[in-house]
Amino acid sequence: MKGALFAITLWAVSVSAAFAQVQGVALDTPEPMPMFELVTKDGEVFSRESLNDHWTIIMFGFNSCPDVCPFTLSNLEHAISETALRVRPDSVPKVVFVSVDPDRDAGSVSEYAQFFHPEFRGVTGARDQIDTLVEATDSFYRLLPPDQDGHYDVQHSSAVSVIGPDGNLRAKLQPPFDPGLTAEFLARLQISYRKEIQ
Amino acid sequence: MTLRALLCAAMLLPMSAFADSSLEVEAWIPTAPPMAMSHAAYVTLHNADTVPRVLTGVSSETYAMSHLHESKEASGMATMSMLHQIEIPAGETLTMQPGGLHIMLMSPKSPVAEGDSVMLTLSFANGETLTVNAMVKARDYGS
Repeated sequence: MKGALFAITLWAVSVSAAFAQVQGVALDTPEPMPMFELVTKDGEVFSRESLNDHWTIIMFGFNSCPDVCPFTLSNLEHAISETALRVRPDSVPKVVFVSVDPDRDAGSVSEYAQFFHPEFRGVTGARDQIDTLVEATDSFYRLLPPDQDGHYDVQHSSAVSVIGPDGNLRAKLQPPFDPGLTAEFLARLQISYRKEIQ
Repeated sequence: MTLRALLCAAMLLPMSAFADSSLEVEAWIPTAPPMAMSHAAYVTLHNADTVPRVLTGVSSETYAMSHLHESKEASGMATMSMLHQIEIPAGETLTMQPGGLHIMLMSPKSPVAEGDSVMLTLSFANGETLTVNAMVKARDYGS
């Protein structure tokens, strides 16, 4: 995987409570995002250009996920609210939930994401375009074989990807996304970014 | 009292009366997007007995299918698997929570909204059943 090539800096932000840790990994060498285009059923487009000029957090999942996806989206909602207290309004990351299960989710992924926050965006699209984004963010997923009822599970990355306003992958965040520590990580990441582009 | 009278009296009692009172249970279901076809329930079950209890299944009339489930994270990958049983040692508490052990509830037969109460029936290896009303409520951080 490309991830093995990334030079990484681990910012271990620890607090007294051992369980409340953010595991943020900032990339020493940010990775440019390739061209991709996810088109939702109502014609809305999420593409490489959609990443420009603001921070983005991309999470992969699927709507039929009973436990981890809603848990992560809920935790991200809390983390983003906390981040909003620490950074400028135009620096608050936009959260994008990308369903890797377009066959089941194409018609509902937008509403699904908005349930967790009105500004969360839910998208999906053509398989090859999803795969382009998955690979570019050093993520992965796997659709498992269906059971006799046709139900299938999906395995997917638990980490989320942080994309800078320049469209480069700049960090990965691992659960559980403690709100305060995630906000601190993102604020520091943004300070580093501003220094870098000066 | 005749056996028949005893049976009749037992039938008038709620289901949970069939279960041993040494099990204490609470359950909740986080509110989910209206279009979500899979929900999760989290149960806390204390076994105050002197023998282990083995949870073997769950059912709910509100959903088409219910399974004991476990989410795990391995090498950065979130995975789920179905469990056929969960043992609760004597005196210990089984705590289901997001990102770990949970009950997967599939295909709600009617909308499930905040403030609702969903009846779950837990089955045990010794033949016991235990019903619990799971409250549907919004998540806080970490839940």
